[in-house]
Amino acid sequence: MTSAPPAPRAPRVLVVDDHAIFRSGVRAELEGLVQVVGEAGTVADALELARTTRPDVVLLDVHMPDGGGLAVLRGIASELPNVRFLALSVSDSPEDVIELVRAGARGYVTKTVTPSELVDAIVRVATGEAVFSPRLAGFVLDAFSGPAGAASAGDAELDQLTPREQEVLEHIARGYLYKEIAQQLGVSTRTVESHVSAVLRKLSLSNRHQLARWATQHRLVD
Amino acid sequence: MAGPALQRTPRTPPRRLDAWAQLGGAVVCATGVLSLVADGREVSTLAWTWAGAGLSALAGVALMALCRDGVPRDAGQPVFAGASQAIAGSLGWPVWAVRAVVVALAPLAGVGVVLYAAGSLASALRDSGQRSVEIDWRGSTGVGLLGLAWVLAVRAAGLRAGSDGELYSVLLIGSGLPLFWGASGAGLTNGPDDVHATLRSWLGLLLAIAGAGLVLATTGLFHQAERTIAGTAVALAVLAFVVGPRWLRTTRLLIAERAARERAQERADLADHLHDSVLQTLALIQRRADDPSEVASLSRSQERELRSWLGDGAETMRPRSSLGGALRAAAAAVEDAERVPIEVVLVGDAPLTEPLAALIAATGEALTNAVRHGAPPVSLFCRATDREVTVYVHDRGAGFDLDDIPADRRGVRESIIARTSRHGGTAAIRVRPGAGCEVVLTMARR
Repeated sequence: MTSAPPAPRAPRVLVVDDHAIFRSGVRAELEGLVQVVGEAGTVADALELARTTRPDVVLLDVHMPDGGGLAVLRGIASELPNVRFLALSVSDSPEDVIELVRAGARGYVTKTVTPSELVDAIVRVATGEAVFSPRLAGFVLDAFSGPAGAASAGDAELDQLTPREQEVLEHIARGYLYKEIAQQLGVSTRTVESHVSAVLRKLSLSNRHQLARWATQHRLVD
Repeated sequence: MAGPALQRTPRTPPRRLDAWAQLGGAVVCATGVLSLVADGREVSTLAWTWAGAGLSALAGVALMALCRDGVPRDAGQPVFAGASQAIAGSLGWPVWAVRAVVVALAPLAGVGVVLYAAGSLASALRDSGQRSVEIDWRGSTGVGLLGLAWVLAVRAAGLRAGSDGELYSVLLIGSGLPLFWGASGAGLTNGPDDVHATLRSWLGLLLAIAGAGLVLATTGLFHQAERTIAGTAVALAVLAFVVGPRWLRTTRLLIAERAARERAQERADLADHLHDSVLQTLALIQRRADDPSEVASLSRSQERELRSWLGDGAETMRPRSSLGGALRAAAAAVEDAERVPIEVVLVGDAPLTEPLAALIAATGEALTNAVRHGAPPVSLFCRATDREVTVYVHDRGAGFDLDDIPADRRGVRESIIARTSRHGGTAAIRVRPGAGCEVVLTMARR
């Protein structure tokens, strides 16, 4: 495989997807921009390759046989806490995406994303940033919208998004970049990032009653 | 043809075991003839018994040799109707032990044969009809005749329990029913063993009926008119045992076949659909490969169609009669007409009302403006709460100033702003250098 040597600090990426065509497509797009250290088509291969190659970022398909992206994420995260995950999916099904983000994925992009956007997302995830696509922001807003369920036993703070966090998510859903959001809200880009990280934390920690059953309710709401 | 060809060994000389069995049969037969001669004046029952044993042994071995045709038997192949294997399987015994018990107990008032029949009944009831037992009717008859020879020989040797009539009726029924039950595939599958299965089935039926007849004859039920009811009951019981398990099995087979047909139908439907839409679109994409926007538009509309057909994902989550569904439809229409992708994000939903319909129409106009005059990516975000619905249409273009738009261009002023405010809503256009242009439409819900 001939390719220009990637930039010295280019993140090391492991591509996990059960579609070989998609893997090779992504690899071709990423060559020279990031360092693709391997590709895996099954859960078992992914765990094995993650152990041997120690990637910075795992590009993870949500829908895979044998337990899917969730199994890969849980398996690797328990062994290698420094690996970060970017979920990549062709599916719009919010419950799957939310589940993956709750389990620790640092971002979610759809497979129709352009190559430059994908590289940008990988680099940002590698530096520890959370990458919210407009769609994910919509899913999360939906999950936290409405009154908290009466049966909610959790920390009230975890059950709600602050008005500022909602504002940030809405701007993401409207198609703005972090620095544009910072400008519009009159804060620093770092503050915007910390809001997004707080949302991620709430998402994974909240035992909000509504959130657990959210997917089902979502389908029922007209 | 696919699959490995059946290895058929060339015809071998009769095997040693067969030769021994033939010799044994001849010896038994000769013994019978000798005892006949020795007895002289009257034909003794013992002599007839020995002669019958010898004859059936001979006939049995000959039939089995004919059936095997020189091919050695597989270890897993059933000998009679496969019931010993079924019993061994459920008890965890070796097959030879079950066979030994059946054979040893057969002459004792037919106990072994009854056990065998019970095993066969159990497996016939459990069987889902998927398993195909390949038995040659000649092999079964041969084994049956050998069994008869064994029973006759044991009786001739003086070991007897119960009357002859009882023994023979038990033997006939007990050996007939498993043959009949076991022939499950007859008439349903078109396999090569169809003829054998049919013959075996008839053979078993005849044996069972003969046994039932013998029961009636020996117990004298035929001759006593006042016991007609009891006789009818016996006949009905035999009939139930003959037809019941077989009918059950056939029904199961039919159900399994129907399920398989339905699955095949589903697959065919899916294949049809994939052919009609997806393959056609792929063909179009290949022909229009030189036109990137056409390719993108084709694949995007195909994606939408496939998602809605699969009943999966956000495309079908909201019905068209709701705000969300109608917004999606409006965005899809603009996408198709202008060939620019639009990222649609919806939070919350609301039933469609007249003001909201106006809001959606205004949104469609704003989207058309954004894809025509703005720059991608184009985003549509809608948040519906209990109080109001807010729609944001955002593009990356330089935006526009309302004052710069010629008065004759009615798009923005009339179709977006006036239409929204007529229904009590507000419309705002925000331009931020570097961050694109955004149209914000708000409509209160009543």
